[in-house]
Amino acid sequence: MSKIDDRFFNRFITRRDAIKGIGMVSAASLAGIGLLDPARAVSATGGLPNIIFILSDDHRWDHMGCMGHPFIQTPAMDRLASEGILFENAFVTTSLCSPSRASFLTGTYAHTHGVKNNITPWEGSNITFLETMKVRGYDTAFIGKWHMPGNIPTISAIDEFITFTAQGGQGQYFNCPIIVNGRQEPSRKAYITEELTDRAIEFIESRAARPFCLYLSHKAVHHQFLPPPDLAGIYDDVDLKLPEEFDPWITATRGNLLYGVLGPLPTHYRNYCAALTALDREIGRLLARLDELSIADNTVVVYAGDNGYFWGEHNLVDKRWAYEESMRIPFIVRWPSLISDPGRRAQQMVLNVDLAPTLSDLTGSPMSDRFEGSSILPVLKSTAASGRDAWFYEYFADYPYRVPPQYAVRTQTHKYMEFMTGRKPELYDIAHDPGERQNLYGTDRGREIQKELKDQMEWFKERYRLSGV
Amino acid sequence: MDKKGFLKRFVGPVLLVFIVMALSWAAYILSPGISNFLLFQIAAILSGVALFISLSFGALYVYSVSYLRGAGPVERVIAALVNPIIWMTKEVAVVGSIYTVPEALFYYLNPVHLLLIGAVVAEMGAAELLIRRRLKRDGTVKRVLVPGAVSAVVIGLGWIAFMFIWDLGVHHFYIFQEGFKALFGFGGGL
Repeated sequence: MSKIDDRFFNRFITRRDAIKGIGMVSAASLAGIGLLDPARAVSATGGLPNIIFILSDDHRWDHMGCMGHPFIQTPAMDRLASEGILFENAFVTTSLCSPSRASFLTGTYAHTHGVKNNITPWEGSNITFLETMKVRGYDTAFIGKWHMPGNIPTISAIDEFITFTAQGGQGQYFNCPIIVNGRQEPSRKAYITEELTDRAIEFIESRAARPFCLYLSHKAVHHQFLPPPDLAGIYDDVDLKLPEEFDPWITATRGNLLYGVLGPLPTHYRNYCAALTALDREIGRLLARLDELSIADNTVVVYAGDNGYFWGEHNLVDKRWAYEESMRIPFIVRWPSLISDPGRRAQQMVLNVDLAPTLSDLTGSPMSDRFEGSSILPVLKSTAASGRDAWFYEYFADYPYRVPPQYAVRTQTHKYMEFMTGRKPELYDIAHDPGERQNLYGTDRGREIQKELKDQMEWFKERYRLSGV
Repeated sequence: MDKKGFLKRFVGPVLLVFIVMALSWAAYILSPGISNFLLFQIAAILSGVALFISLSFGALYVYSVSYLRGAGPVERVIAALVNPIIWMTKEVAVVGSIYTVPEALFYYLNPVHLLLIGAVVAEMGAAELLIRRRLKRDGTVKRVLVPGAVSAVVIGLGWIAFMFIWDLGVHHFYIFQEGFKALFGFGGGL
């Protein structure tokens, strides 16, 4: 056994890991997938690519310069988009922090990984892509927001586990105590986005000799939407174009106070945008470090948000609902060694559950039977690759919020939503009504597509063994 | 000071605040249906103001008027609490359409409700002091600063200040959620 292997087994392999690894190798063999098939390890440089997944919180898809936002400055995200592929139709299968995070990590829906809301705990039987990458030979790190109910798990396949538990796992923007591999430490930087970026860069620098897989999960730009002092107020003078259904009392009515948005929504919104620019600056710092280390070409950088956010649209704040502002996310992939047409804007619909299968695919790791997403590697390789026609959205009750449990089916052109609590279903022609203002359910115009989408929803429910909402 | 009949000293002030609260709530909820943007904004803003005032400061009015109309201390306290409790019950009923009955009942304890109760307690104390000051002038009462009223003001305002200072109620919210988990586990609303 080589020194590296010896170190690997002594340090990383537990009985659980070994069982998982054996299981995955067996599954791969049965499926006819060779773990070391060079055709599947597609890095143009020959070796395994490094992987950096950056996850932000509550960053909705249209709040980036590259998406045409009127004033927000996101040069680093714009750079990622111009050097990679910007997925303009990216979504989460549940628009809520904890379920969405678990879906990114596992490639499965909330009804499968069990983190249905911000209360139901993470199950130890879930397998994260970090564990898969570990088996593949990667050094791994989880840095940032875990925020899934229950205790912070011990996952031996994660070499560096840096997180926080303050404020119910949400963390705090300033001076947030950090838990480094189980031990609490004070934050070295006052602002959490900078602290986490520092930690991420340190990990990258320490692992430059081996492929690494980094999960970097920011608190930003979640409530309380606080920017660092030097960026506070940078958008105070811009003219805001608020949604036409916005009214000044929206933060104080319909239970919205429980979202912590006490006070004028425009003030929160300006802070949100400034905190987002702060996040972008830190992403830029990380990208610059990759350049300095000359590893950018062979590093896959994926940037995504865990869900969107309403800023008054549909008379709502927060997320959860199956409307576009809530379920759509930014999703950018940069991999210079593979992507032949940087700057492309992909229209194929991608989901948070696609991340784990994609990482398995691009590293030649076996595809888990549990995956409910699909690899988007073909889309990364070719603009002509086909995407999915429709997908399924689910939201489960999350106490104490008064958002009814709901299912939805989203196609390239339409959306159909069903609710618990007797609320009438909703049907939208997204292609012609992107703001989802005209509910076509039960109308002459909607009747034809309504049946088709309802049938599709029943098909999804049967496939996922779900009961009616 | 004359003691008016129950309808005048108790039902009257409670009902007036209730009507303002109910109408402004209905107007606010219906305002998005107004197609003219300017009218919608006017309706939403005015109804929102009326709702906020009736809900947040209604206790001050009810307690004062019922006191002036001869209501006793217990009656005054009950009268001041009626509308906030009706509002909270309405909120609980909304939540009850999604969650189980015990879970919905636990919603009474959410931080926003506790904030409202803090305000009501402070207002009752303030109203007591204000009315006593007036009554002292005509010799009906001897002391203005009675311990109960002063305590109510201090406790109510202190509670509100504490909630705001302690991260704008964020910590209370997590305590509330932990309480929910302790009582109901992962909940039965799924």
